[in-house]
Amino acid sequence: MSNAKNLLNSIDFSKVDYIFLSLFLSLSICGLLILASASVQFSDSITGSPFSMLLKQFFHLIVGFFLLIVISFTSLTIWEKLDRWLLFFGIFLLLLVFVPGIGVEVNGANRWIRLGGFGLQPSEVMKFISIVYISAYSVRRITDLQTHWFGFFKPAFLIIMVASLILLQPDLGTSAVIFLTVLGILFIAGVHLKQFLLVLSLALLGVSALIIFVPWRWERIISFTDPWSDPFGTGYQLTLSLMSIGRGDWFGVGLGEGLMKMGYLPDAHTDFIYSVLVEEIGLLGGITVISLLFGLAFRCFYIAKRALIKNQYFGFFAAYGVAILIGLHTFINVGVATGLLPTKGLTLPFISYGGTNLLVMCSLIGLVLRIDYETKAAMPVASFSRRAS
Amino acid sequence: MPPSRVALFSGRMLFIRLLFIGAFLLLAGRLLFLQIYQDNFLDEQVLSRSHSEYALLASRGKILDRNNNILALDVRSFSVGVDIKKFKGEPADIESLEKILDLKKGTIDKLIRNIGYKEIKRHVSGAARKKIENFNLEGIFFRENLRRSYPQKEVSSHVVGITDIDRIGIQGSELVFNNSLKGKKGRFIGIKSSGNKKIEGDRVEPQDGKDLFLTIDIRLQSIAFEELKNAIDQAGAESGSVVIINPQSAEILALSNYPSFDPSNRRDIKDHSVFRNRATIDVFEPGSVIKPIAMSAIIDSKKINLEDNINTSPGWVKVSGYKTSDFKDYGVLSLSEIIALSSNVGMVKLCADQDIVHLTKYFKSFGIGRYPVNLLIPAREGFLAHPSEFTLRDKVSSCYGYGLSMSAIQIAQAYSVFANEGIFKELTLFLDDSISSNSFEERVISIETASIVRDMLIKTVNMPSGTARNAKIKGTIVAGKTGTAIENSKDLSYTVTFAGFVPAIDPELLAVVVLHGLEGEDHSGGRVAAPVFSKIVSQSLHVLQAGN
Repeated sequence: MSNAKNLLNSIDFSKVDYIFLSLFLSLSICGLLILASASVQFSDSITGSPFSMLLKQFFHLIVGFFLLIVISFTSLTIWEKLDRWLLFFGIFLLLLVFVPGIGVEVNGANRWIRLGGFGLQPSEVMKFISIVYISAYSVRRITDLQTHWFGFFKPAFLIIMVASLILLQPDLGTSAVIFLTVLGILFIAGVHLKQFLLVLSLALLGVSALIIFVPWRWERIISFTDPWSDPFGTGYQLTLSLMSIGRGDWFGVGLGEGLMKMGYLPDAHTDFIYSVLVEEIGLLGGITVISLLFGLAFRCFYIAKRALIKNQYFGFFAAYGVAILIGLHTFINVGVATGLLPTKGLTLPFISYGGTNLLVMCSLIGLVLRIDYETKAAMPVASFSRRAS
Repeated sequence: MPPSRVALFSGRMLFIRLLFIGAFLLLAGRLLFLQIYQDNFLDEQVLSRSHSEYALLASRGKILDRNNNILALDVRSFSVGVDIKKFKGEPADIESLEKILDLKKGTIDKLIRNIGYKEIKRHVSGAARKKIENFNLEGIFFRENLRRSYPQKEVSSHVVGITDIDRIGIQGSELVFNNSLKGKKGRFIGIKSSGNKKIEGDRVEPQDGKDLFLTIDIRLQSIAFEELKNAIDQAGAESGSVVIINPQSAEILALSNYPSFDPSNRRDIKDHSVFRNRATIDVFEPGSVIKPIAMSAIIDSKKINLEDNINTSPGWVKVSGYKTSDFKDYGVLSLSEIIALSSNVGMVKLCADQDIVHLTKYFKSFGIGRYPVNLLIPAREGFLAHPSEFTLRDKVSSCYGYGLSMSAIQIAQAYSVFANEGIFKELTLFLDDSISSNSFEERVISIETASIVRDMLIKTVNMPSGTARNAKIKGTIVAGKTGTAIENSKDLSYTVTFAGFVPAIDPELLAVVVLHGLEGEDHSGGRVAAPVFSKIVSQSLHVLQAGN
């Protein structure tokens, strides 16, 4: 009890980024409101109670707040020191997915592990770990990274391994997001452009192969280019998503009044929640929500730049990683819902239903708050050598 | 930190930011594009999937007899279907389902190997539905249906009529009163969710159809049907009809035909003649039943005294080269004996000097060649030629029932004149007064003439040698006349008829029995039709007395 008091006293509340915090809180509240509406039908059909999914998500959010607080009180040096162990732990979790009895198969994909009554998506956890690991690596090996090719290829290889493990689940979306986030951090850290482009094009080639040679993925690409040619077959989900968006007009039909979530649009509470959102609160509401998400990412950029100025390199890289991850999630999710990108199941951060994802997103917010806090607490420095305190 | 590195960081940071700004603009632009350029198209697509407009079925009115017995009604039934994706029934559940639905074992198993929605069975009762619902199986659903049901089956099918699969009347009363029976469909217009669950919309409730009351008494109808059926089977006739009316009110109490059909089960019927309401549709040469009508004209013509006798010897007479014969040589006959013994020769001799205009006027006023306007269900008017077309031969033939035609219902209508002291009344089949607005009554013959002919009809039944002696009924006096007409002279098939009423004074019931297609000369109206009349009417009197 006295520890907690000391802890509270030790916090300098003037050093908290309230803009960042309020962006996060508005997104969380907005997310709960939309989910309350979007999950009604699905929740009712699965559990018999229209609000059970909302309650579950609310519970996740509470746990997420708790994680956020814990992580924002955790010194960044701990992450920096534990990064490799974390990576091993993450890989271990990813392997557990394939262990019978622990891994759970849902709709032909092994994305879950379940111990006791507790379910977890290791690939989501891996998002946090990758950012921490690559940021720590980049700090440690900044010179190698910028000068030697193996300085870049070593982490790239590790991440390709991780991404491959996720691909085996199979979950192309998540592995692509992790891979791109990591590449983004390495790019910021200053890898040679030639090497960077080489890895990027190799990855693109691999992904293209995965799409072309896996029939259902190829089908998605084809149907995405002209969903209206087969609106009741391959274009089913996308055309319904577009209809949902069209129905919203500028101001929406009103929260809770959406039609397409009533059994028409599959995954209305997860991957396609954005369509429901636009249907109910309109184009302006939809743009507001993406603005909030991109605002969050840009605030991360801002925090990262402040960290850079104070030579907080880990914080700089990690905050950039978080921004890239949130940006990618938003761009892909909304891009898919609006028919800009081929159908790929990725969550809309803080809005979509999903326990592990929400916990990880809250943890990342906690991490960025901590980065900001440590940046503000750090003495102004001019020398490269005083990077950590 | 070397300045080059800071420059590197800031350059790449700027690049990433620009990417983000680009991504944001791309998304916002895409949303605007959808909203501005594709909004109409998308809204149409939404409507095409979610717009829901369907009819709410109205119950068709019941058809009832005069004592509120149901002859036709709508029965609510259900189709049972299965959503195969959701259905997770255990083998034991499936087995009991099959049992309740009366299906062969394995039917459902076979069905659920498909995908999507499948209908398991139609026309399942509400009770069976309840039983199935008690199992609480997921993926089993019900759809409400209305089905027309005819509890009296083939007994009253011709009068009641039938409906098609959409419950629209296509025959009989169902057809004639389709508009008032069918009611008004309701409507639902609105938006539905996927899986056809209603969400919101306007509902116009259906209005159930009006009930229709027939003048039929189903008890008499059943008696008539059963006896007719037996008689046809025994005599080897092709078909037949029985009409029973209340002569005072002109209401039809029974109208039976045989062969008949079960309206609910008519898929396998190949001989479509069973659908015909023969009593109103089939017209035939009536034969001797015409004689009392002709006699009325003869009496009213005053060309003969009532006390006059006619010599019918030698049992035949030739007019215009054609010979008309009697059953045997009756010798000298009074007018009433001509009727009672049904002497063709007597009728020919009486008719020979009748004015054809006078005679056809009488035929017409008794309803021959005239459409039974008050009947409303499909009927035929029969045939009566224009007076100018009658030759002498035609004239004398008409007096014993050839060269003109009428239906069973028209015979009943004509004989009601004798029962009603000379007043002709259009028959009706419907109790509602507003329906029978053009009810038609007309004095056709004087009370005196009517009572003279009635006495002749009494004699026909009650005289020991009267042709209709088999029509007698214990405890009451029957008045009536037989008819035997050659239907087809090549294979010698006969139509036999009996028309009569009881009690002879102030009659309660009037009935006509017609049997077609009898082969062999021993079949006469007196032998075949008169006993049927007696059986049907005595039972009917019994039922009516018990009922009152």
